[in-house]
Amino acid sequence: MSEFLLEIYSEEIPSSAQALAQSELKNSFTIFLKNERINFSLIETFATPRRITLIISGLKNNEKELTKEVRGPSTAADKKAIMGFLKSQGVENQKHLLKKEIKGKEYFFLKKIIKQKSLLEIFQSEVFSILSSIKWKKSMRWASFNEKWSRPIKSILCVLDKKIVSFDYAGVKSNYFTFGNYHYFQNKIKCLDSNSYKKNLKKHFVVLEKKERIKKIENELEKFSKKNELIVNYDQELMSRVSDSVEWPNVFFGSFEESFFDLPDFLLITIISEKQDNFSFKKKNGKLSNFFSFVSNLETNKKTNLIVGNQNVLKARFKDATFFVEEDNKIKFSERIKKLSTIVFYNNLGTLLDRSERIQKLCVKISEILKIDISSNINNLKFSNIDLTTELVREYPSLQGKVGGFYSELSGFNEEICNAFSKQYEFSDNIVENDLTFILSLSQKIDSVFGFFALDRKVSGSGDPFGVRRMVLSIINLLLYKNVSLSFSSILEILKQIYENQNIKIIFNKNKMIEFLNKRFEVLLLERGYEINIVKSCLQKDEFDPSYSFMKIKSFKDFLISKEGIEFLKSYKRLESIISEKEINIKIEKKLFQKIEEERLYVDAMLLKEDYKKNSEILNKKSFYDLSKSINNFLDNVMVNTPEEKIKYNRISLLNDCKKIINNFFNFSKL
Amino acid sequence: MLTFQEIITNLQKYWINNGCLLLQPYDMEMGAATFNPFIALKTLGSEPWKTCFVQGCRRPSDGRYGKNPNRLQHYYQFQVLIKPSPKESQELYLKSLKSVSIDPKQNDIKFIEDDWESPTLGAAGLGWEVQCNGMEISQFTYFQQIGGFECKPVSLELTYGLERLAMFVQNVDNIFEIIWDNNGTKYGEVFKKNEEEQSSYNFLYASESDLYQSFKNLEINAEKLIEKKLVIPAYELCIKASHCFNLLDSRGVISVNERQAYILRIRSLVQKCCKTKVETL
Repeated sequence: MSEFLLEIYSEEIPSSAQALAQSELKNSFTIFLKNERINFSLIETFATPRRITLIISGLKNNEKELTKEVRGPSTAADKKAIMGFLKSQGVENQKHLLKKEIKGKEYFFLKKIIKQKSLLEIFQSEVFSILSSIKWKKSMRWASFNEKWSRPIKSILCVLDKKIVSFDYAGVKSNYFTFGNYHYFQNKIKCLDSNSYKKNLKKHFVVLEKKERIKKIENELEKFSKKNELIVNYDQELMSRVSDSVEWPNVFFGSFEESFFDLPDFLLITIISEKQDNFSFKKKNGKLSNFFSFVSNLETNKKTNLIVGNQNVLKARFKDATFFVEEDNKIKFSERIKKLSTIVFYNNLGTLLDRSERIQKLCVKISEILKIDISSNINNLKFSNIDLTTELVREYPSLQGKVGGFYSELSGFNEEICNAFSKQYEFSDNIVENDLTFILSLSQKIDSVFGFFALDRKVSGSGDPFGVRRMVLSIINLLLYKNVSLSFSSILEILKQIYENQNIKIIFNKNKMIEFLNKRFEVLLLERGYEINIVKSCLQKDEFDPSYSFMKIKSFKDFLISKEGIEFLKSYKRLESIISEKEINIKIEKKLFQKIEEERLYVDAMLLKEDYKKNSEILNKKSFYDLSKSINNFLDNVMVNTPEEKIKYNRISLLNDCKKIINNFFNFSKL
Repeated sequence: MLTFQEIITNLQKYWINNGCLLLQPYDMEMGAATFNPFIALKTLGSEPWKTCFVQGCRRPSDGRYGKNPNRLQHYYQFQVLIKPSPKESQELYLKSLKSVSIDPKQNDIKFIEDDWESPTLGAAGLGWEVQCNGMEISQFTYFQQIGGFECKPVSLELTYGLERLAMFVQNVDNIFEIIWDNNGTKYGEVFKKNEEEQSSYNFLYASESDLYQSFKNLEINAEKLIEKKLVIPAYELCIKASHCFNLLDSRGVISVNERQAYILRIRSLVQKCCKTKVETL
């Protein structure tokens, strides 16, 4: 059993890249081993900010000799041909050849022994291309090299059974040494196998396993919480980020002045966890505590340096935030509204005040259409954008919305509207729980997307510089979660009218917009596993109404996998193959029916037509099933191509009509 | 304890000893030393380049009338550019900290992912913000592209926020308390008045209409210079346009969305400059 050990030692790798590199390496090596038919028992990967490690154990050296028989000339061939064959195979004498009969003819054969490459040789020739093939989200070059990695590579350890697997990558030659945690120890450490590798790392202040690092941090946080009767504001993403930022986690604790509690908790927590990657705590009564915690590589007796330093930074950031809040509070809401009118939204799309008014009007229209009562808050809605004039949002753009909610609360607005302001920009599904939040969120996103198209801007490639794709996605999700049907064909017209009333000239291309919206919806549906044909046959060209379309798709899909659906589809295909080239439109004359099967098909088709008139979204399985039987009976017993033209065309028309009625529901031809 | 000017001279000495050519500050308003033509334009092309210098930077909207202990609308960066990026980049940087009496063994030096991107320059690099006990003291960047063009070889750009560094070294929590020289002159004595007056200008009195007009003119003239393949003056007008835009921004008259459109306009100019430079290399 052999063991392969690879470690790419580099400058600090970001958290997200650590995870990606591990999974990519694991996949690539698994595929490589499979292709080479090399057995192994386990592939493990590890990552710290400075290294990505891969260990393959239980490698089975399949270095057995393979034999292969090469066919030569016929035994009846002349000597020249036989000599030529011997020469080409590097064999001297004819006595090494075997004779074998194939299809009554005898041939010479040579039994060749092919020696497989050794594991070392195989790895040696492959590692470079595996490293180059990693699909990074972000990667870089450095100095004059072409190869890429997440950050510059400093050293590569690569051994197979204590021997160096030798290759070059970005100017670094593979070898058999690693490095410890450079904050403690800078010399090379020789490692020939995973055992000594792991032992050495531990000895030199590196916890290789992320789980262990997290455990260590959690334990310290837990101890501290217990002692001070606190609860950690546990944030999984933060924990992941922090544990990915150190090789040897040491947890430190600091505090800030309670006077900063004048600031809202969401702001303090954002600064602590997002800006500083620190942990915050809450007291048993749910209120934010003034303790915080940070993690460092350093294990030092001079803790004060670190703690005071971090406290100062937090203090400075809080002071900054306090300054913003104080500045913001100097200006009243009524003045802020005026300020909105001095800020351009987009060139040619009016000011932020225009936008606020549009959103307000759109909210009213949508609430009317959906029959949701928002009358008590209509006036307040014009303040939805007000926080865009604040210093706080300028400094913390990600808090847009929340800041609006906060200031509205300070100004005595009701809870519902504050909540709607706070959450309008969110992309999560819980915003649909409150009607007002739902309508506001929907309206402001629709106005943004509409505005983008009104400027005739284009979304190209994979970029989304104005966040249009993301917003459309959110619009779709909002409507799906809320499960309400809303016709964008009319919403867009309404919005167009609102713009016109504002005297803002826009480019209005409804079809293009609807096409774009449907395209995003299509992508979303495909991601959710719906087949493209089903999706395409359910989306409308001139309308965008996600909930309605989604219901259709679901019922269509249900139908297609039902017993009736499967039967129906078979007969539909038969029908289609008969009339595919016979487009005829003449009125069906019942009196020309000669057979009972014609009569029956006609009746069943008409029944389906009635179904459609009653409810076009629901597929009545029974009606379809009956129709499929009638189609089959018709095709089995009725001759379409009769010599009598009148009857022939009447029959073709019947089939054509039948197809049309069916396709009213869905475009079955696309399946 | 090192004074502000000693911090500057020590860094200069350190980087001169490591082969950098010492430039003097560029005589234009810019938001970051990266805009300096001896950085931005030099990252294109293959010839090696090693330089260091102090650059005054202006970020109008960061003005706080001299009242905030951590914010300035004018401050200094110490800038280093090494092309191609050296093998021991991080070691070189950590040693430079020792030259300003920061011991990485006693202080928590962290390299926090901060992929730098300048939308106005169409530039991108990968690297970190370097934190010392939680405070950002430097920006560490491997230049990957500028004006949409690939940088090859890759340059290493180091930017020290000199005031931040001094606050840390001198253990003061107010910028204006930084000791500038051996006479005990404080930073506030030199710059407080400047902060007060410039903040008023930035936030209240900078003429919007003039700025809008200047921006347009600069854009038109830059285009003309690009046609004549005069890359450096054309690029200088981009820097000016960028500052115009920053002032408009601090006047609070540009919305988040409109901001993007302005940035794209400057970027397109910078791209043309870079394209012309690449074509004439």
